[in-house]
Amino acid sequence: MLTRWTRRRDPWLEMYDLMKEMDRIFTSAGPPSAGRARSWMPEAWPPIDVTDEGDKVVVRGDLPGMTEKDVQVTATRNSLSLAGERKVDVPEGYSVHRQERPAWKFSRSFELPTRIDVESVRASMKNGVLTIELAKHAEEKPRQITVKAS
Amino acid sequence: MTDDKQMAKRETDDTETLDGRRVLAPATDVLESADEYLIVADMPGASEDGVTVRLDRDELLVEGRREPLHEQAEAFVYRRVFRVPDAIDGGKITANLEHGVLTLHLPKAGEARPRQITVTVG
Repeated sequence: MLTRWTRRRDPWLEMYDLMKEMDRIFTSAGPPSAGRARSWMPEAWPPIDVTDEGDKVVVRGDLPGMTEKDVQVTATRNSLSLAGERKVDVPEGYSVHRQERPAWKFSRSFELPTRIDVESVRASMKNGVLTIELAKHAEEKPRQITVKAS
Repeated sequence: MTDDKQMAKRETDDTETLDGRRVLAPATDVLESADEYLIVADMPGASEDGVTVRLDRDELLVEGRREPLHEQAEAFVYRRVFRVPDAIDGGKITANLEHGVLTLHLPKAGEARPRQITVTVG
């Protein structure tokens, strides 16, 4: 059974109660095509994964076909913004049998529940996957607490 | 213009992997010009050494492996099989993987032959 690759759940929505997300989403659908199978719908925005990895928060997004030039990442002490665009154009002289790959134009902001160290934010793209590492601010890092016998 | 049915995927794919990876079908565009078919598949996270493209008779297999990027992530395989028309020159298929997108050019004319295709990067 062919399974559609879909957007993964955003763990921040489950992990943190105080979360404000402002999304300005411009959904741009690809050109309509008789070949589009009913189960393939254009995504409103690309899938994002967020994980808390101890001393840093890592945000990952699947952005196939995009390079570092196509994405803008902005971070403040307690927020992260991502914006980008992917066009899916049919080249001259080609007809379309199937068009499933969505075009995107997205602009999305997250309010971060933990304070991060803006100076050390790193973002990179590899094989169409965007990885943003946000080191937590020193005061937010988990500290091991020794349990003493009393 | 070729009937869409000739490029249709099989309706069911019961492929299972021995290592328990999930198998997912990548979003794919299929275009046609006078000279070739163009297949473009989204495979974010797939790297060159994990991608296989193989034409066997009239079936084109496209596969890409994706390793988990963190503990809660899954390893999975992008996989899709297309039935291609006879009029494809198997020896001239080219495949290119760039930024997680696999692009295949299938030139028309000639007889279909079993053929392993080398994937270029960049």
